[in-house]
Amino acid sequence: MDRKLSSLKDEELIKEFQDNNTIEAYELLVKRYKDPLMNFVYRFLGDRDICTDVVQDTMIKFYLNKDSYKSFAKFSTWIYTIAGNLAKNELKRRKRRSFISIHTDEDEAPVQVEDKTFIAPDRYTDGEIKNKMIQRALLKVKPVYREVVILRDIEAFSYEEIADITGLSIGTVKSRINRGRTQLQKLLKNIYKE
Amino acid sequence: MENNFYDNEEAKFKNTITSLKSLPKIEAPDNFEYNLMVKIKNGNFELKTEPAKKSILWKILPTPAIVTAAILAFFLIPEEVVETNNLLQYSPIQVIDSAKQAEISAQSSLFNSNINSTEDNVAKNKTTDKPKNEKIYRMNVQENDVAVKQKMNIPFDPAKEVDIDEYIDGRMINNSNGSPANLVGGGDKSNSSFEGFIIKNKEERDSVQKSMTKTDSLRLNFKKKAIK
Repeated sequence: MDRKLSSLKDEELIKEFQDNNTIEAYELLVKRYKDPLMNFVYRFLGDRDICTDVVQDTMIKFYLNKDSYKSFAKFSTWIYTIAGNLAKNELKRRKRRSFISIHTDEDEAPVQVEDKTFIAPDRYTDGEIKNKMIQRALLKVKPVYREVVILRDIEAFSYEEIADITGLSIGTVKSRINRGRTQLQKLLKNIYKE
Repeated sequence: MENNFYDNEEAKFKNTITSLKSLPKIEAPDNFEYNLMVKIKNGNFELKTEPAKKSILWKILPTPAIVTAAILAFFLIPEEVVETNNLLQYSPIQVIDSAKQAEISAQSSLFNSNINSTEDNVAKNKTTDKPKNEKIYRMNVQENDVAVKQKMNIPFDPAKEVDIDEYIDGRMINNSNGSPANLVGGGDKSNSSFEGFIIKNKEERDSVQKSMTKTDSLRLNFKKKAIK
């Protein structure tokens, strides 16, 4: 049974879960998507513990709202939409709690997230330091741009898939990706000089 | 065209894209699935990242707060004296022309057998169309329902006094251009200001005529009696 299920596509698995409430199909989908979602949410939030909670909540929402998935959509875009929305909610909640800005213009003010990733540089190799710097720079990019940049350049989704996930038009997606990359390039210019 | 533009842009950000792609993949903790399935089996579906729902207290709190504030405002804020222009609040100022006054005095003097003086007053009033020194009386009703007539001064500058009836009748017409003269406060006369209205009781020609006739008859009767 398991061997048969594992050979099924994502959309077939969720159909099985929807129609027959097969928990094994659900477990298989969790196994397939837990790591990509962890990667996506971690790059977006920059906190591993909270990232785990967000992905857990994503899977619980998937379990509870399995019938809201429609077969014409790709399962990956559907589950990433849930994860993205929960991650954005978490970001807003953290912003309200921990960050008080004197800036009133939300567009201009960079979102500052507490840096829990800082560890003394001597404990890391050059590559690891570089990765930390990229992650820190990524967190400084505006969330609306950051989300699409992660989906495009880290998760390797197509523009159409990103448009489905975010609910934006393809033109807006491309524009935001472009702006996000520009911001990121400015933040990382010191790395490239080296 | 648009696709080419963004494809070219990707080339521009080659370093950035390469850096992002080279980032290590983050993996879920080992106990991720176990914890998830435990939650599901226990029915513990409380989402940690879900925004905390506000209690119902927050929904009903504004209502009593608004009511309390309104009550406090009603009792604590001193009542302001609001001056309203209620025309029915005060009895109108009654201006009694000399003719009317003379009528009254004539009647009273008849009873006092002072016919001559009454006749003089009536004659005098008959000749003067508009007396110069008008007297204004205010009728005040006291608590015991006794009406008392009080003399009062005109609260206006007599120099500015204008009889609107004369304007309406067309008697106040400038001789120069034949147009009506300016009313108080009108036109370029910025110095003159409007101070108020006084309601005048128009003397009725019929009533004066009647009183005069009455006075004449009384006088004749009195003379006849005196002759007898």
